[in-house]
Amino acid sequence: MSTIWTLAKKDLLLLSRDKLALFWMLLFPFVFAVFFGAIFGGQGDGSSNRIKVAVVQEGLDAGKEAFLARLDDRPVELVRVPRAEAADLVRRGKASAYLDLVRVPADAFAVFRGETAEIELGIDPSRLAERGMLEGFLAEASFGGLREVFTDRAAGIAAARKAREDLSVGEDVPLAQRVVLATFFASLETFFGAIDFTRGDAGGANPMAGPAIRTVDVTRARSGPLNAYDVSFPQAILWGLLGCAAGFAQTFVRERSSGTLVRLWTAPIGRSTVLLGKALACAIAAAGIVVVLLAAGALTFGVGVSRPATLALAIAASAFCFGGVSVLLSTIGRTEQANAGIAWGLLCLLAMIGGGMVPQFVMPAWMRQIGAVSPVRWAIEALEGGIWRSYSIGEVLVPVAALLGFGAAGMVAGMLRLRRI
Amino acid sequence: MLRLTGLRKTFGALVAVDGVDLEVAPGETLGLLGPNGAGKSTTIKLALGVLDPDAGSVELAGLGSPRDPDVRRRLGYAPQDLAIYEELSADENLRFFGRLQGLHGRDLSRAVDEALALAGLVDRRRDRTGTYSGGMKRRLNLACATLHAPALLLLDEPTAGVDPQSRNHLFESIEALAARGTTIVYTTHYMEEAERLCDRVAIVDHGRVLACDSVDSLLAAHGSQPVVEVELAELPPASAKLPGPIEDGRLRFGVDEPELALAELRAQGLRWRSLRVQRADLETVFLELTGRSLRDA
Repeated sequence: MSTIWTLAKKDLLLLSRDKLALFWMLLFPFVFAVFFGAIFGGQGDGSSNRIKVAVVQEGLDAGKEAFLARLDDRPVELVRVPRAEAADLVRRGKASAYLDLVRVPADAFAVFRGETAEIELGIDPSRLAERGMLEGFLAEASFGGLREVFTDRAAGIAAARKAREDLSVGEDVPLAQRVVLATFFASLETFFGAIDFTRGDAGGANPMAGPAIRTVDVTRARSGPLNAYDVSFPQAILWGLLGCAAGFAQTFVRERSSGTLVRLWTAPIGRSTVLLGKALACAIAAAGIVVVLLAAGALTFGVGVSRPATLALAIAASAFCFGGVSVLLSTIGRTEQANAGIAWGLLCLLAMIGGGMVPQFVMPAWMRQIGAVSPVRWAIEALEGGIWRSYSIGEVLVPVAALLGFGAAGMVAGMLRLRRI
Repeated sequence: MLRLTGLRKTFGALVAVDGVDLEVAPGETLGLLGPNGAGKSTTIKLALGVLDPDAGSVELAGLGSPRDPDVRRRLGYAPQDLAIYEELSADENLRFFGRLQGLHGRDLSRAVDEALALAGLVDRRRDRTGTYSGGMKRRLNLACATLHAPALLLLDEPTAGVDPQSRNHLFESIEALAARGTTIVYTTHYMEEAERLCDRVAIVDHGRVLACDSVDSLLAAHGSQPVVEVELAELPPASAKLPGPIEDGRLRFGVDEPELALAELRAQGLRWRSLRVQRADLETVFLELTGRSLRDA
């Protein structure tokens, strides 16, 4: 055993001095995890949670700007654009909808004079949820002026007075209606001045501001990853493990081509010992890769560990598995170039069907079944079991057993092939 | 110490080693002299147990096959390729190979120090060997083979591609090892190395041992007469009996005893400006045995 450890220690020392190998084993997987985590998680400039709406900028006056201002506290991002561009932005998917404020009444009481807002909303017919939401926001904004005068007494008095004065000079309202409205606005001004309707019972909230909605946070029971990085990191870790297996396989071929292998063959150790030393080094490096990448994920993106014991078992089994795989890969190809080509070809295939490139849950059922022949699939499941699936030790035993099986098979096959070298 | 009996090894249609019989006595330095592709390295690998022979046997010190780890512990091997890790320092390389040979603790440290001293690399022991010159790497390659004080040391062209200074250092190291009683098998295609270092030399070509003996015996058996070339100062007297023809003022002839022949010529009144005696060497022996020059083979 001490000889195997001596061989493994030497390989780990060589690995620590190989910057390119470290890049493929650590930095590349980290970049992979960040990249795909950002894509699937919708991270970025933070604008993705708001509905982007193009607003036709022609004809925007103070009244229309006040109308738009009422949308500020809604999850809507307004972008003012020329009329010619508005519909095109929606067609190209750069905006969810466009708004053309054709007519917006100048004051809150215009509705009593028969004036209504006219708004054109351009939106893809399939976006029903966003359409409904936007129509709600627009209706709310249309009546926003009335709400303002009924929630602020001073503003109400001023608005009623101005409406009555405007009425007296207006020519377009029929005389009979004008008389009724003048009486109504005067009564309203008196009402605003005499009664403080902005106080609720026992000094509570303004009853005119609408229902008091109390929001209670109720977090849904966790049955999936907390964030996209919980998914992207196990995938990325697998790329690190694949790089590790391929890298150690290449070191064996390099020993052959450089002549050091002949010196090892002449040492008083068995040939299989040399391969076992490489397998041990690969397994230790693989476990290190998982730990370092998970720590990086935890520190930067909050990747968590739901079951530490399960995760520890998953790491150990994955390390053993890819140590065994590296033994088999070591015996493939006579040159470094040939070995790298064949090894990466095989590993990419395993990654493809095992969910290392695209998560298995987006694959069709038949493809997921094929993935069972790939150790990548089992390693991802085992690692996810400890990270977010909250697998118990019993639940993770199946993927762990599969990983141990793949590792042992790789080791045996590698030893058998070694006899022919 | 080492007995090779009827060794044969083929690679497809190529017969690399064709019935080699050799015996190396304890403390002896045996040279395998032959051109590239003669089968020297294959013979060494068969002797080490790295390759399995198609026929024949290898026996080391009466212990058995070198495939047995206990037997292998008594072997040291410096391959023709530089079998060292260039990303590791000399110290790290030596410690690694020493541990594989079963050395630990103080024994290992002492062996590493001695090997570094032998290789003249004490000052550079912590530097990565990738930064070493070719000669330094060769010396380390040899040091890695001798670290565990093997009884039998097999050196496969240990001076390939090194500068004269490093070559001399390697020669001195090998002579020091031989003086300690190490049995050495040394392959080379440089006759000067074989003549300087080896007690016996086996002439190898096309996988066969053509002759194996001490250098003097090989010269006596297969070397031609020494050739004397005299540049005359004046025409010889008409009565002089000349042992060969004169061309361009030079008298050239072959003779077993050059000193006696020259004394006789002087007695006949011949005067010369310069003379050169060309004795037979292993190149001549190889030419005699194969019909080809060692350098051209």
